[in-house]
Amino acid sequence: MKKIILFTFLAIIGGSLRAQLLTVRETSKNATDTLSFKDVPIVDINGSLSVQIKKGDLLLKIPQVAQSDPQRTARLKALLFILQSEQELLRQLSIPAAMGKPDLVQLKSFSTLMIEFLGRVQQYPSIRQDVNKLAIEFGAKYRDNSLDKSAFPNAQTYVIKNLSKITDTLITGLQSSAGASNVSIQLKAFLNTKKENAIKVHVENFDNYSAGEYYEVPRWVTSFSQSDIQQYNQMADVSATLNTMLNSKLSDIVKGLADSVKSYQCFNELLTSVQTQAATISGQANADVSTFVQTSEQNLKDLVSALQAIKNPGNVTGLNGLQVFNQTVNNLLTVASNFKASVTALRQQVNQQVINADPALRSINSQFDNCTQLLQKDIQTATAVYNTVTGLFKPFQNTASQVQQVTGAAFDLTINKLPEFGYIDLKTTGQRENGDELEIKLIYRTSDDIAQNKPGTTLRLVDIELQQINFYSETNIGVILARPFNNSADVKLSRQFQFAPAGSLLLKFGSRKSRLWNSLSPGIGFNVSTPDFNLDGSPDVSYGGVITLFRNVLSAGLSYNTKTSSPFWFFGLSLPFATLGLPIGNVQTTK
Amino acid sequence: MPNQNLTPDQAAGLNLVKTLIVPNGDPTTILNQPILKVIVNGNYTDAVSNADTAAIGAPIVGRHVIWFQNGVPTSLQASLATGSLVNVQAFSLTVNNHVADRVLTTEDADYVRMETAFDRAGQ
Repeated sequence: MKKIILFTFLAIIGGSLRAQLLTVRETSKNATDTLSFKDVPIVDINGSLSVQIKKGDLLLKIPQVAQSDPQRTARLKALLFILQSEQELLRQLSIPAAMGKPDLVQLKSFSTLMIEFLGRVQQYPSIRQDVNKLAIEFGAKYRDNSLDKSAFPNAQTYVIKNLSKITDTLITGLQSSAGASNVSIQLKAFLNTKKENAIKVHVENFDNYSAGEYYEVPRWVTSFSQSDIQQYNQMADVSATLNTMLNSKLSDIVKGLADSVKSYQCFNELLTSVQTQAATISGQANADVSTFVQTSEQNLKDLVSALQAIKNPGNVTGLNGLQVFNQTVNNLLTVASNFKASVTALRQQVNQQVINADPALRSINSQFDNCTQLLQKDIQTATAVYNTVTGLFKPFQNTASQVQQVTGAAFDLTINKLPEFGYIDLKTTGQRENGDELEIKLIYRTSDDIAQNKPGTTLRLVDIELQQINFYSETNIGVILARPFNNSADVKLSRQFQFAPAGSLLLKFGSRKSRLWNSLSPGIGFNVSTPDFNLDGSPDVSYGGVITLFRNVLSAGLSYNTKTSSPFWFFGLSLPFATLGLPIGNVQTTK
Repeated sequence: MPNQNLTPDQAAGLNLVKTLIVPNGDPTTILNQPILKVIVNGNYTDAVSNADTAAIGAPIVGRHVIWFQNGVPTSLQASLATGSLVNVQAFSLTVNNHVADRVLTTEDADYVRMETAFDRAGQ
């Protein structure tokens, strides 16, 4: 039982110390709020933060300090534990006593804090003695008027301020101790967005990183930007591809790509022919023919290998499914492009008469033409599927991209030279969106770590969610599935639904308190889309209303096609697979 | 500023600031105020002195000490519903004069203990 109580007690101590190692405050025009890390706190996406490292708590976290000076470390630990509510106590101690009716709520709050404080004092007999001595000292000075009564109006304030002074003296002594001198501290910050992970963020006083792109997330968006228009055009291509695929009943577009690759068989046979020919002519043919056959063989091997990868991607260590897909399609497009150029150049080098004179070479040459035509169609298909997939699954596609490189380095600072505050201006962290997270890390490195270029030990890691607070507006570009209410003469769809690009202007509300609300992120607004209900190949401009949920992942609305004069309803789905816990998008990055 | 209720000898000795000494003073005026009180039950100077220090400049709600040098009268014990005070050197009263804490004669009535008595009365 005693062990359980002791364990619980130590856990509480550990918890409180851990909580105080870093204090992060959000500064706005009106006030400064200290963030609570009981849950992931939410701050204004355009705000500024100050980060304070509590040196006392930091010293306790470094094993070398306790080893070099165990007695002072133990005393410091006790004092920090006792003074954990120092600021709040001092604040309440400055409230003068009411002359009339007492404020019992305030009194209860203060009394509870004091009892907790005194309870902690009683756990350390030597500190209890110090407290009693300080109180007697206060009484004596108060009574003989040798005290600044405005600074110390009561014994409680005198005791707490002097305990704090003793703590500061201990910290000053310990930070110059042998144990503390051998370690250095880093404070680093990273931004994790939906597009990229671990973007380095400059912390004033703690690094010399180059400043990131200045970007203030606009509160009121009233029109579509150039970027929105480009994205809309991309969504139009995606919609066209999806409609084509819908017609061909290809439910799995990636599998569809594998099935659609027609040139593989052709090139595989061509490679066999070339290899046979290479064996036949070995040592007999002239230089032109040998070069033609050998170079063709190598180019064909590369191409067949790339086509094979499309048909059967398999697993690649360290890469997720999307990365494998991107890599294989990119590789095919690159190899295919090089192949065409290489074959054209090769044909120009080789005497055509020599090729035409040999029936086998003539056949190979002809096969080249046939296969290249098939390859051209495959390239078109692969490009369309690639654009569709990256357009539809943009969130995790972007998560897999490269980490932004920022020049500069985090400072290695000894504890006695540690600045009291670091500052982060979120507006200089570049492009970011609601729901992105800022990560702040406190790290200590021993001299060995520095010599061996090791990352050190993370003492504290905190996550902070970025969010526009209160009302704001934003745009959303995506693909919708539109369904007309009735088939008028102008509506010539053969299916019930049609994919169409759509853009929305949305009004939303961001909460500083509720992550759930921010995740739900309901939005309401105006929608413009361009389906093609009359199938004349030109977009039908349609206007309507839309509601969205889950950061625009789900959308639904009513709209009116101005060309066919037909109302329709629609819904949109943009799945952020990375947030659903699937392997895709769970990219590990080195920080 | 010396307490007006102290005798000269007492004032010179303890130099109390927030203490009413009975029988010299009338405790009714203090008891009728909506403040926190510590009642010292007899000749316990540590309890008096430390409670007096804890009462100086108290925040939010005023504090006062009433020192019954000859013990708390039975009639007051009854009206305050203190119960037996045989082993009690001091006790604290809420703003409504309910007993909140008892400091036993076996306890060390140091500043920490007397401050605790006041704070329990404030809860």
